[in-house]
Order: sequence, then structure tokens, then C-alpha cells
Amino acid sequence: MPHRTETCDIAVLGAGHAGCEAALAAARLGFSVVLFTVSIDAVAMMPCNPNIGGTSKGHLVREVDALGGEMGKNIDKTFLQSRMLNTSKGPAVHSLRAQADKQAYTREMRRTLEREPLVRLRQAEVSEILTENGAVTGVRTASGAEYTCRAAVLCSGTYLRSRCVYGDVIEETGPGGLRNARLLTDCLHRLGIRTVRLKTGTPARVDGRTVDISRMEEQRGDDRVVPFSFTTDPESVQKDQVPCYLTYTNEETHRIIRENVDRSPLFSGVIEGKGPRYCPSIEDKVVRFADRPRHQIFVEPEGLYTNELYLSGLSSSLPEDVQAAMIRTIPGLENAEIVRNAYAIEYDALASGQLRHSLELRGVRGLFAAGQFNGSSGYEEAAAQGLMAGINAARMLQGREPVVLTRAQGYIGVLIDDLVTKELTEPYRMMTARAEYRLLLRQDNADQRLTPIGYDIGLISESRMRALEEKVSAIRTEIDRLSGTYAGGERTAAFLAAHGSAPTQDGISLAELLRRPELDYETIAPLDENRPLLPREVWEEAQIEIRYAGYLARERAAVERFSKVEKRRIPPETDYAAIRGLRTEAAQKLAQHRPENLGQASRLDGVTPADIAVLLIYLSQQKRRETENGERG
Amino acid sequence: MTDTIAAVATGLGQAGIGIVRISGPAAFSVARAIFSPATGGPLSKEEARRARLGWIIDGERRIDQVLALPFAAPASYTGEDVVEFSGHGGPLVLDEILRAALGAGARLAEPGEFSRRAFVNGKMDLAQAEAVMELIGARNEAARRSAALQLAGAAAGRVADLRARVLDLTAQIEAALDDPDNLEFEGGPERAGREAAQIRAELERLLEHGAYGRKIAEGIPAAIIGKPNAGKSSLLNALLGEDRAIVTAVAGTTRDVLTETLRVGDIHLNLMDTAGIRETEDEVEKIGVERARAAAQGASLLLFLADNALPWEAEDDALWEITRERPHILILNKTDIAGALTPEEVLSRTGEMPLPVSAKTGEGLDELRSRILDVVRDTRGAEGEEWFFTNLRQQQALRDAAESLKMAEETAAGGLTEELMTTDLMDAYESLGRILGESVSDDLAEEIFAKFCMGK
Repeated sequence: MPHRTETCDIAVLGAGHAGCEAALAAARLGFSVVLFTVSIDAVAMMPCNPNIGGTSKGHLVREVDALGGEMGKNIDKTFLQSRMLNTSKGPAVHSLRAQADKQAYTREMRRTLEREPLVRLRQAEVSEILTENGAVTGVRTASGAEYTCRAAVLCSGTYLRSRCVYGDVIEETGPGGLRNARLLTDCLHRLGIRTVRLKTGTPARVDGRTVDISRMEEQRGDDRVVPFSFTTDPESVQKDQVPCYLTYTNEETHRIIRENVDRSPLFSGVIEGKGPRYCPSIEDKVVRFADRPRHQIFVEPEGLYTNELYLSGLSSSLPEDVQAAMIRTIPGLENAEIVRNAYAIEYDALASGQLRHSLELRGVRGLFAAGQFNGSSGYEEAAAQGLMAGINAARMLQGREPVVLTRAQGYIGVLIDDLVTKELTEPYRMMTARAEYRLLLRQDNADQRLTPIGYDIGLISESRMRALEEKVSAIRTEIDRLSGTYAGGERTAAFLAAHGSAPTQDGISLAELLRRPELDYETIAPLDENRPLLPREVWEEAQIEIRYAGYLARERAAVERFSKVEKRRIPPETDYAAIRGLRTEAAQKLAQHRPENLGQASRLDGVTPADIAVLLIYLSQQKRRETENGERG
Repeated sequence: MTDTIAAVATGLGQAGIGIVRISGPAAFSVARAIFSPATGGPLSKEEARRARLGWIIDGERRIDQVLALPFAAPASYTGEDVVEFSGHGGPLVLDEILRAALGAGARLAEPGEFSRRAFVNGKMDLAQAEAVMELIGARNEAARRSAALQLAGAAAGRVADLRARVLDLTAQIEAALDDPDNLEFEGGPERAGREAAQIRAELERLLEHGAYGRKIAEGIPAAIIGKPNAGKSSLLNALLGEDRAIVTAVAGTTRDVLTETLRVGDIHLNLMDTAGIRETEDEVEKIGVERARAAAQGASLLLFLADNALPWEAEDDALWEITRERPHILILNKTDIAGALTPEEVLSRTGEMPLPVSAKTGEGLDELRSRILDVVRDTRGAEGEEWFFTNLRQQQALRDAAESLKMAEETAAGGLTEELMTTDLMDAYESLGRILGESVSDDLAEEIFAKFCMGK
């Protein structure tokens, strides 16, 4: 018999990176939230790599922050080292990555949750999502407690019926030996939700006292740290940083792996789930890229609280003895002692084709899903989805339209669109290459792109919005000033000669000078006597807008074209099977995914441009028919 | 809903056998209405792919004895229900069969509509469908060979290769951007620009072939250059004479002049009818170097006629000036008479040995024909590749791809970094995909994961 009935507006199942963002967003929009977790000490836990951000993932964190999410603020408070990646390239691919103190990260996020008046944390395994007439009405825990709610956000990460495997050892647990969630999958199946098994893995952690860092290359953070959050005072993040270390595998390491690869559970067939190719295990790398004489291994601190070190690049599911033997072939790790073994983890995830762009599941009203359950991988991808799912669960209760970001608005838009429309065969990871308009979707302008949307949603304060408006206007003013300020005369000629830059006949605008790759805003300062004192983020934006103006204009034009096709709506009741000329496979895919517009349809796997042409013709016919009927009627 | 279409599926003209094809949901009911089998029951889907002998009937009247070959969807050329009637090839008979089918409820197919349906139903890719349409419209043997090769995928294979190179380059750049800890794009933008330029050079070669292929299909514009009375019209008539049956006069598309179509071997020459070719006009009209120049401008092949009856004159020099830099054949006409001009003298004037020809006796005409073929073939490139992108859409896609690659090269030349090049590279990839009817979807990510050892 059910007992203890609590009431809330929104139940969030799982308190990882997705669940935390979902709970905070919903609560900040005024809804009472119960946040369930099977292990309350593992809130916002980082069970794999000890960092936040990285290429394209750093963009996601910036966007989460710009919309009013928490991840950026939390890592700014708890990072050990920070680097801007790809700085030798253009601004579109600059990405922030910070090493985190894992426990500090967890503690800080829990503190934030506990300070949020409308969030209640509960350590319990949810076994049942209760519905009436196809809509969520509550959840029930394994211990029989019932909670009524009007919406739920499923953020089960890698915990659903998860098991950790290495060699012939199978542990029926969640990541890091934490308990898993065994009961909910059956309920999901009863609700008509289909699941698949996915797999990911993590490397071993070693005891820092047994590692000889003198045999490795030191990797330091940036001299000047750029914070993740647009709200963090840059001065507050300039601090002593903790180094990482670089070492390499060698032929001996590879020999041990090759000789024991038949002992991998992947070979014995114990693991059924599909693993990600972009994050391969070391045995995968050695087998698939046999000609590579060595692979890089980054040795990274897990936190200041421990001497445990993370061996990035050594994911594995080989047996314990093989792990120990191969690690000890690596320079600096000759005497390394393993604290935790590497393992592969398998878990239940959502089968493709069941998500809406709002992250609500088809078929169950009020049930949203976010994070690794949706087939993604990575803390940042999870946080981004959690934020959007929390927002849209709240908006459903507000009776408002969901917020759906487009591929032209942000990496979040790209991420969710891909998760909704693609047939996932492995965990999905964000990449800058997946963003069609990445010159527009820079990490430096995430606030300009998304903070106004966050403000409309209600997650951005009035003062933050005003500050953004001032920044945008300062950028515009500076662009105009640089375009209208001219340099010339002998001093300019001497300056250009000294910088190996082509001479000019007449005067030249400062904006023109900024377009020359050999010059930049700081170097041309001597020619710019009346330059106002501006925050770095203002003049940097001005410089990017000027320097890449041609490319930006082209991309904006492409967005314009894209929006036209994109927006062509497909009626939800469309009977694809009845459309002549549509290939059967395409008709099935379309019927399964029910794209809302032609843009989404065009991105479905198995739908060809010819199918889109047929669909376009069909839509035009329908429209004509409607017009004719309208005239007759 | 799709309607049912019918058309004569074989070429017009006299032939032993001709086929009327009916395709669409009502193909069988239309066919049953006009086909009376010699034995057995009416045509049925259950007996698809079995040939049946019988008569095409129009009410009581028998039109033709035919073989009926039914196909049930989707196992047919168009992917729909199809019935084909093989009748006796005369245009009148086939026309009657077609009329009967139309009378029974089919609609006359538009040109290429069978292929379009086959494409829409996934029975062939875009390049194949287009090649089929070109095959239907092939005006001669060379164009037919080009279309046939395209259908076999030779052209598609070449484009696919270049497209794969674009993807490979892009993936190398992107993989390094995605995993800078483990991967580096060696050579930077300079190398990327260089590789883009190499791929573009190949595309431009394809485009040149395409331009040639178009000429093959549509006929090669040619002009005879020579003084009045050099024998231009007699040469033309001599060349046409043996093949009068295929001479057609069609209005030129770019200029308002008439052209004579002349078949030489497996190609067509569209001989522009410039002043002097038809000497029906005022005798006092001088040829005018300017008119010759205009004719030469539009022509891909010039036949220069030196007149054996007259000495080499200043006018010859002026006309030769126009001719020499363009593909041409130097001809010494009227070798049947004791001339004022020797081949050696023409050689000394022009630096080239003329081909002696007599339009009157026919001497040298065979040699002229074979020289025409040689010159035309020379313009198609050294390797003698025989496939072309003759269709405007394909050429446009090639040009778009080349243009995108050029933009990528300019990014490198402008001192910018390679991440700015990949948008253009992927645009080129997409343009080339249009030729093959393929979408881009997740190719880049797939390529990166397949080829690069990503870290973490």
C-alpha cells in the first residue's frame, strides 16, 4: 500500500548534471520540485573525466550559463586548472576546458540545490511513473512512497539497470560502485517507451604517491583564466592552478593489450551495448589504429581532497591484471598502483524516435527526459538538456509554448535536434563540426545569442539583461568607431613596415587594419590615440565582428535560407504511407519521428533529398487543395 | 494519388520492334481493356514477368499482334505496376497502340516521366535517372555512349572519388579541431588550400569534358572559312551529299542564323551558314573579314578553304589570322584543276601542310572526315575519357563545388585559419553530392570517427 504522499509540481528523477539543471530551472520558474537520487552524496557527480568543457562542450556550458543555468557558475567556483583550447585557430573553435575538483563540484552544486527554496532532495529509487489518461500524475518509489506531480523529468543517466564490466567481472551497480536503478525500466516499457542498451567506459585511477611525474610532461593552465559564467568576475578566477601531466603508451603496452584482447568482455559477448567510437577504449585504439606506435595519456588530478589521478586515454574493460600490467609499461607509471579499475558500463537508454524537440516524450504527456538516458554522452550535453527539459516542463505547467532552440541559435539547438531526429547507434557527443553555423555560434557570444531568450523565459534577472544590452551597445559603438577612425601619414607607414604589413596609399580605417591577419586590436593601439578604455569582452567582440565580417554575413545569409525550408510545417496528422512517391523506408522513418517541419524531416536518417522533394510537392498539393476547398466552402 | 501513364518507350522512326509502356496503379486495367490474349485468361499481376502473345484491340478492330510483358510493383522499371507491349515497330502502329491505351484511361507520359517515377520510387539514383533521360534524347552514337557510361556509374565514380577527397580533407581538419590534445592538422591552412586547389583543378577538367560532352550531344558548332568562290558550298554539298537523309535545318540557339547539321562518323557538326556558305546572295557582297570573325567566334571547329584556282591573296592572310589560333583544318580545294596554288606554297604561307580536296570529284573527302574526327577528339583531353557531364544541372553542381573550393583557397590565401575553410569544403561536398543524389547527413562525423583515433 502506498504511504506518505508528498505533492510537488515537477518530479526530477536523477540528480546528475541533467537533473540538477532541470530541478533548478523549474524551481527558479516558480514550481515546486522534488529531486530524486539513489545516492544523495553523488549529486552532480563526475564519474568519468575530471573536467568540464572542452571543444564544443565548452560552448554548451557557456550557452547553459547564458540561459540562466548553473554548470558554468559551479565550475568557476571549483576548478583546479583552466585552458582555452584551439587558440591558434579562429574564435569559432575556441573552447574552454577546466579541470574540476570532483568533490568540491558535487558539494557546491548540492549547496546550490539546498539553497533553492522550491527544491526538495530525496534519496529514493523511483520505481513507477504514475499516469492517468496518458499524462503524468505522480511517481512511486521502490519503498512505496507516492508523490503527486504534474510533470516529471527523467534524468537517469547511466543508472538504469546498469552494470559495470571488466574482464569477466560483472558488477550490477551504477558508475563508481554506486547503487543502480533497476525498477523503472519495466514501468517505462509498460508506458510504451522503448529502450536500448548503450555502453560507455572509464579509465583506471591510480594512487598519486606511486606516480613519478618527473618522467612526464607538465601541462599547465592558461596564464589568464577566462571564466565559464558570464556572471563570474574574471578577477575572481585568477588563482594558483594545479598541473596535469602527459605521458605515452608504447609498443610494450600495445603488446600486452594485443595478447589479452581476447579477455575483453567485448569479445566474449558479455557486453551487448553500443559504445562510442569517439571515446574508444585503449584496446579499441590499439586494434583499430594498429600502426600508431604510441597514444597520449593525460594524467589529471581528481581533486584537491585526494591523491587519486585519472588516466585520460586509458579507458578499458580488460581484466584487472592486464590493466595493472599495461599501466606499468607507461613512463612515470612503472610503479603505479590502481585505486579503482577501469570498466565499461552498460545502461538502458531511450530508443531513437520517441523525443519531441521540447524533450517531452511522445506518448506520455508531461514526461520529459534529459541527459544520457536520451542517448547523449558527457556532463555538458546532459546539463544542456536538463536545463531545456526543466524549462519546458515548467512552461507546460504555465500553459506556454515550449522553448525550442534552432540549430542557428545554439549548440543546444544542434544537440537536441540531433538527438530527436537522428538514429543513434552509439552515445552522442557534441562536436563543433556538427554545428552548421559555428562562426555565429561562438562561445564568446553565447550571452548575446541566448541571454535575451533566458530573460524571456524568466531565468535571467533584470540587471543581467540590462548589463547585456549595455555590452551589446558598447560593441556596436566600438565597431562604428573603428570603422570611422582613420590612420595615415608617416607614423602609420612606419608602423605598417615594422609589422610586416602592406603600406597604404591614403588613409586607412582601423577596421581595415584589423582585417589584416598580421595585426590585431592590441597591436594597432599606437595608431588609435583616442581609444576608449573598454572591457576585453567588448573590444574582442568588436574585433571578431570586423575581422570575420564577410564570413559572418555569408553564414547569416545561410541561416536565412535555412529558416525558410526549416519552417515549412508538416501537419501532425500527415499520413506518410499514403504519399505516393515516398520510399517505404522514408515513410516509415517520417511516421516514426513525426517531424514538425521540413527542416527536421530533411535531417532524419534514411530520408533522402528525393524524399524531401516528394514531401515538398505533397505539401504544396495539400496547400493548393486547402485553398481550393476554402474558396469553394 | 498517381495516375497511369503511357508512351512509346522506344525511339521514333522505323525499327523492327517498338514498345509501348504503361505504368501506374491502373496499368493492368488499362492493359486488359486493350489486350486480347491468344490463349488463357486476362493479364494478371500473379503472372508478372511472363510474356503473353495476343492482339491489341480497339473495340472489334485488331490493331497489331503483340507480346505483352507485365510487371507488378515494385519489381518494375518505374517501381509501379507496368505493362509493356512489344509491337511491330512502325510509328503508325505504335501510335495506334498508344491511342488505344490512352482511350482506356492512361495519360500520355511527359518526356522522361518513366525515369522520373523510377527515381522517385527509389529504383535508380539521380545520376542514373538523368543519364536515362539523356539516353532517350541522345542524338547520336557518341552521346549515347556517354549516357550509357554515366548510367554504369563511371561518371558517378569519378565524382564520388573527388567528393571523398573533399570529405577526407575536411575530416582531417575537423578531427584536429575536435581533439587538439591528440591530433594536429599538419601543414595548416596552406596545405588545406593547396589540396583544395588540386581537387578544384580536377573538377575543372571534368567541366571541360562536360562542355565537350554537351557539344557531342547537341552537335559541334563549325564554320567553313574562305574567300568567295573558294568552293565552300560545293564542299558542304559534297560532305552532305552522301548523307542527305539526315540533314536537318535547325534554328541556331544563340544566333539568328541557320545551321546545317552534318554527320561525320559518330558526331554531329552544326555548320553555320555564314555569308559565303550560301552564295545565293548578291554577288558583289564581299565576304567581309568581320563576318568571318563572327562565325569563327561561335565555332569550335573551322574548316579553312584555300582556293586552288586563285593565288594566295591578302584576304587569305586576313582570314587565316582568324583561323590559326582555333581548332581548324586547312584545306586546299579544287585539286581537280591545274592550280595556281601548290600545297607547298600554302605551307610556306601558313606553316601547315594543307589537305588536298576536290569537292567536285570527292577526292580527299574521306581523309577530311577522319581529320574532323581527330580534331574533335583532340579537344576532349589526352586520356580519351569518354564520359561527360552533359546536363546543365550536373555542370552547375560541378561549378558550385569548384566555386566553394575556390573560396576555401582564398581563406587560406588571406592568412586565415583552416576552421574557416571547412564550411566551404562541406559546401563543395554537398554540391558534388547533388550530382549523385546523395545527402550530407552525418558523413563528416562518421568520417572523423572512422579515420581518427580520438582521445579522451
